[in-house]
Amino acid sequence: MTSFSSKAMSDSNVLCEPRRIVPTGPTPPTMDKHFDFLEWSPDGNLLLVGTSDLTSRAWGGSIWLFNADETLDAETEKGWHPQAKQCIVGASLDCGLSVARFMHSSEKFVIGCDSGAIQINSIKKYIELPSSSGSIVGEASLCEHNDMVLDMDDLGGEGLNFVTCSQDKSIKVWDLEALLATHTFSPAHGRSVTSVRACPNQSSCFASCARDGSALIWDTREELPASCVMNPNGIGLTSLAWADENLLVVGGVSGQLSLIDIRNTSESKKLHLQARPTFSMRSIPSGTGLIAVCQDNTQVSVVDCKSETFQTVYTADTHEDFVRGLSWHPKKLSLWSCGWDSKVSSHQLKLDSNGV
Amino acid sequence: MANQENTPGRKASCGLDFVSVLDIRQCLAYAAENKYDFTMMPIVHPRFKREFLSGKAKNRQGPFTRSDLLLQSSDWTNMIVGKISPYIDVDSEDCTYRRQSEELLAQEMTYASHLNLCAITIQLTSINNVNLARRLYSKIVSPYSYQVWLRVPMESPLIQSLEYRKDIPNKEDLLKEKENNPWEWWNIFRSVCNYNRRLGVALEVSADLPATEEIERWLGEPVRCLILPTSLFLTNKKGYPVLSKAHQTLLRKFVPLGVQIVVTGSVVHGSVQYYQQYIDHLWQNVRLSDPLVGFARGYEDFLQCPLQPLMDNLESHTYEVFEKDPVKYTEYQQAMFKAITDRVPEDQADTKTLTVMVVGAGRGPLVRALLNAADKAQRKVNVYAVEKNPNAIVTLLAQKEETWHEKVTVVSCDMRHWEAPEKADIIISELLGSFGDNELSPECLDGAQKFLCDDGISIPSQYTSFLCPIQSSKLYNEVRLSKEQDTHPLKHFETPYVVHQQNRLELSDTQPLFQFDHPNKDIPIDNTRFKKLQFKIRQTGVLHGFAGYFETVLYKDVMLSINPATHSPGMFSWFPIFFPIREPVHVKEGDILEVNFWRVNNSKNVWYEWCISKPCPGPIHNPNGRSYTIGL
Repeated sequence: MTSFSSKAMSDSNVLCEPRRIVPTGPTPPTMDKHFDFLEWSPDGNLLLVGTSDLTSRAWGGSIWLFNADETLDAETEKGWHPQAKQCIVGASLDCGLSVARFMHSSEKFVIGCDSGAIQINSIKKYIELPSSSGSIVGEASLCEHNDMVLDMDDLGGEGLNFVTCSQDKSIKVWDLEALLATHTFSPAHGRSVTSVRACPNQSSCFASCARDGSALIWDTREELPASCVMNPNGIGLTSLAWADENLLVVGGVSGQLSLIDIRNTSESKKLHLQARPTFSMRSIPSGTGLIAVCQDNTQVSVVDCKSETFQTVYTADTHEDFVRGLSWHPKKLSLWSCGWDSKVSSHQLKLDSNGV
Repeated sequence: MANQENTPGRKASCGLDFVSVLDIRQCLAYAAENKYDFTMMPIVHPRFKREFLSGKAKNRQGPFTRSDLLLQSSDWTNMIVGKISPYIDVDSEDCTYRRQSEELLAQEMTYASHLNLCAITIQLTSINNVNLARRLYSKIVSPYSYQVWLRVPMESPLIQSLEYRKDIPNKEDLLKEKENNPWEWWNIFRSVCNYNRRLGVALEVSADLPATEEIERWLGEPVRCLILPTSLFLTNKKGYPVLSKAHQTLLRKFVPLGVQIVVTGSVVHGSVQYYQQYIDHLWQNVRLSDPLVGFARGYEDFLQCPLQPLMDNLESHTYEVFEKDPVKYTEYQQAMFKAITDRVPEDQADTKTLTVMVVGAGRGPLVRALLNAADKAQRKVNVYAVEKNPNAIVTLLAQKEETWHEKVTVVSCDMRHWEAPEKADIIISELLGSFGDNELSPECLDGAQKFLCDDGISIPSQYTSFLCPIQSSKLYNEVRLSKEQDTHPLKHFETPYVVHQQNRLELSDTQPLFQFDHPNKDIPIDNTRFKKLQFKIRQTGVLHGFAGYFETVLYKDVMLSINPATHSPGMFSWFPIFFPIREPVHVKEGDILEVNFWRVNNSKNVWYEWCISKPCPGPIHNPNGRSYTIGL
C-alpha cells in the first residue's frame, strides 16, 4: 500500500495481502542530512538514529545504530556529528522517516515513515560471521495510514502494542505481535494528528492532539473512546506528553505549553516558550515530572510540571538548525537531541533539586 | 453531430496523489505505467519547515526543495499538480505562526510558478480562510498563471471525528452549524476571491455521502476534480476495486462537467492501476441520458448570443443544424395532422382544399412536414411558403421545381408586410427562441394573422416562458469575461445568452413567466409584459442569474418544451437562455427571492429588463434596452 511512496513504485512495496516487507538496503556510505529522530534502546547500550533527505534529488531516509561508546562526543560542547563508519549497522529506506520506538528487546524496533507505513526491523547477526556486526532486516511493513506517520508511542510499555498518528487525520492502535491494527480511528481529529502519547502505566489509554487545536484522551476499551481535554481555539496543537497519569502537557504553534490535569480540564497552567511551534515532547522515564521539549527552532528546553510553578528548568541552544528528535537515556537520565544540523547533543541536567 | 445512440463515453482523466516522493522521475514513470494522466505531489517536502523571521535556522544553507532540472519543463507543467505544505496556516490566531505561514506559502507559490505548474492545490480546513483567500487571490490576479484547486472535503472531518466522542451529546446540532459545512468554507473563500475563474474545487469524496441537495449544490460549483480515497473502494468477487452504487451515481453526475479524478491513499487492491481502470470503465459506460449531450458536446457552458433571425438572415449551416432535430418536426407534423383533420372532416376530404401558410419557411422543413401530414391525413392543401431571407428562397424555389410543383407557392416577403391573395385556414411558424418570445414571434404572428381566417388556427397556438434562479460561478465568470471594448461597461451583464448549462445548480423550482396566445384577438394588441416572480430558495447558495426556458402548445395536446421538468425527449434545437445579474447574491435556504421581469418595446426594438427586489433590492438590468435589444 504505501501511499505511493518511493520504491513503492516498484511493486515491491505495494503492500497488500500477504504483506510484503520493504527490503532495507545495505549500510549506506553516508548518513542523510536531516536527523529526524534518535532513540536509546531500553538497556541504554544502543542509540538508534533516523535520518532523512528532505531537499535533494531523492527524498529517502536511513536508520543507524550506534554503540553507546561511539556517542561520547555528543557530551562535548561541540556535539557529535555521527559518521556512517562509526555505526554498528545502518540501512537505507525508500522514504523519509520521522519516529521510532524500540520494541520489547534492543534487537527490534518499529519506525514510522513518510509513506504512511510503519515498519518493524530487527538486527540480524550471523553466527557464521562472528566478526560481522550483522544487518538490519525488515520484518514487516504495515501500510495502513494514507499519509505520513507523524508520531508513535509504546502503549502499555511492553513493546508490543503501539499507537500511531498521521497526517491523514487518523490514529491507529497496533498489536505488533499479531501484526495488525486493533483499532482505527479515522478521522480522529478534524485535521492532521500531530502527536500521540501513551498514558503512563495504562495499556489502553493515550492522548492525542491535532492541528485543529483539539487534544483528546482515548480509552480503547470504551465504545465511545474519546473525550476532550482541550478545545480548539484557533491555535493548532503540535505535541504533547504526560508528566504523570493525570498531568498532560500540550503545546501548539504559538510555543505556549498548557499543563492540564485531566481530572479537571477547565483550568490549566500556561508556560510560554519561544514563539515557535513545539515539535516534540518526551517525559523523563524516571517519572519525576520533567518534560523535554523541542520546537521549530534550535532550542531544547526542559520544563518541570510537578513543582509549584510550571516552569522551564533547562534550555540549551547547541543546535544550528531545527531540533527534531529527543530521547532520555534510560539509565543516566541524560537528555539527547538531534536535528537538521546533522548533530547529536547530550544534555546533562542536575536532577537532584528542582532547579538546573 | 454525433449519433445519439452510439455516443461514446468520455475518457476519464485520472491523477495519482503521491504522499512521499523518493525519486520524482520514477514516480512519474510509475504513474504513467499505471495509465494515470497526471500526479499530485508536494512542492516542498511536507515535513520540511523553514524559518523566515529570526534565529539561527533562518540562515540555513542549501536548497529548500528539489531542483527544477530533474524534469523537463513540459513534465512539470503537464504532469504535476503541486501540493502546498499541509501545516501552513495563514489564518492562525497566533501572529508569529501566521506571519511564518504567509512566508512559507509565498515561497511555495513562487516556486510552483517557477516550475510553471499548471495547478497547485491547498486544503481548506475551516470557515476561517479569509487571509488565505486574500493571499492566494493577490497572487493569481497577477503574476501567477496557474489554477488553484481548493481541496474541500464533502463532509467536515471534525464532525466525522465526533463519532468517537463521549462528551458531545448533540452531534446533530453541530452538523447544522454553518462553520461545520465545508461548502460554506468554499463559499466564503471564493466570494472573497471574487469568484475568480482560476479557482476550482478539488472535492474529497467521503465514504458517507451527504444529502442529495448538498451534492447538487456542488454540481453548480467549479469542481475541477474529485479526490477518491482508495478506502472508498469495495472489493468485488474477483478481488478488483469497485465503488458502491451511491458513489457510482455521484461520479456519473460529475462526468458531464468534465471533472478529473485523483486517486489518493494506500493501494489496497493489488495494483494502483486497477483504480484507474475501474474509473475509466465507469466513464466509458456513462449513459449520456441527456439527449442534448451528444449534440451539445463542446458547447457546455459556452455563451452564445441569441439569434436574431428577424434582423439578420440565417446562414445555410444554421438552417442545417436545426433541420436535423429528430423530434421537433415530428411533433410539428403531428400537430399539423391533427389540425388538418379537425379542419376538414372525413366526408369533405375530397372536396375541400385547405389554405395553409408557412410563415418563416426557411429552407422548407415545415413545408415538407406539412405535405407529409396532408398526405397522411389524405386531405388536400394549398401551401404558401413565406420567407424573408432571399438566400433561403433559392432553396425553396429549387424544391418547388423539383418536387412540390403547384402544391406550394413560394413568397419572398416579410410576413408582416405581405398582402396575401387569400385568407389562410392554418398559419404555421417556427419563430420561437429559447425564451419563447425572444425572437419576436408575437410581433411577427400579430402581423401575419391579418391573413388568417377568423376561426383559423395558428401553429403554435401558445407559448410560455419559464424562469429559474441559478447558481453557477462558471457562467458568471464566462459572462464577466465576455466584456467587449467600446460598449457600455455593463453590457455583458445585461445581455441574455443562449447556453447549454452544465455546471450549475437550480436554487428553486422553475416558474412560468410570460404567455402569448395566437391568434391574438386582443384590442389593442399589447405584447409588453411585466411580472413579479417569487422563488423560495431550496438551499443556501449564491445566485448568479436566471435560466430561461419555454414550453409551447403547437396544437391542442401537441407540445414542445425545453423546460427541464417537461423537456421533449431527444429534442436539441434549443439550448436554454441565461439572464445574468451584475453581482452575485448570497441567498439562504427558505429565503424568498423576488425577481421582476419586463418585456418592453418601442417602434424599433423589443427588450427585457430585470431586477431583484428580495431578499435585497438590486438595480434594474438593461434599462431602456441600453445593452441589449431585439430588432423589429
